[in-house]
Amino acid sequence: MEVATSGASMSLVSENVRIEGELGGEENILINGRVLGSIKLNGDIVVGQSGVVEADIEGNTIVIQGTVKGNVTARNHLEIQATGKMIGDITAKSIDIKEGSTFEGRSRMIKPGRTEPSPAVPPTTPQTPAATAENPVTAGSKGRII
Amino acid sequence: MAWFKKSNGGEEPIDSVLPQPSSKNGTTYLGKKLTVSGSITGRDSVQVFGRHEGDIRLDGDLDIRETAVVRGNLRAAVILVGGTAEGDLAAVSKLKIDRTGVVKGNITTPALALQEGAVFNGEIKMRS
Repeated sequence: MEVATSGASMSLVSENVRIEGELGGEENILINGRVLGSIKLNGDIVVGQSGVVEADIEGNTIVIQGTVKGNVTARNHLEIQATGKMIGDITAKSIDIKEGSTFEGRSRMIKPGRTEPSPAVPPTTPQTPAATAENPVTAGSKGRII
Repeated sequence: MAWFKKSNGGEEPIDSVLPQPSSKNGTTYLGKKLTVSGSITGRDSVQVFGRHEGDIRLDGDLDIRETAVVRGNLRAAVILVGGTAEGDLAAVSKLKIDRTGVVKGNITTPALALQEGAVFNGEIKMRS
């Protein structure tokens, strides 16, 4: 079984082609045309300068040189280059947002060692602090120390 | 001034049926491990090596390669089938089914070429 590495095999959506639907599989892809729908690949994704993607994108390394409207999840690295325009939420293990690019949305990092992003809202105060005598302000505490 | 020119004899090699890359339009290349479900439309040519489910309508040429499995109605200027195509195919100028090609469905084309070994189950209609 061959491992798909970047540069090994690269699919291409050329500039005057429009795909409406879902792209899946184990391919790297360069998108210079339009894609509407969803892209979920075990491979690298490059949205070229003329590319317009209105879809949620999931891939390994994602490079945005064109326009993306949708949520993007990069399992490894996400790069928004100077000509890139990213509107939507991004989730990635590492990000690089170049000067001149446009990004409107939320960013969440995947901590190395985890496969899922850390929760968006960090837990605030602990729900059940140890109900010790020193801490009078706990729900359900029986008495107060005066 | 006379100069010598070797004449070919005027016979066209089979390869001339393959779409010539046009400088105006690009070619979309859908690799072997790519699955597309949805419609593909556009002015360019498309080469499919993987799986596709859905309609394809192109101004350019459509090349369904040996590893490709395409389900849906297809329409293009020139359609070459070297893989499997299920659905109705309509070519504006010509349609060719290679010896590895399998077509299940009706085809409409003004010009047809079928290589020995090709599998075709369907109706064919040729416009005059």
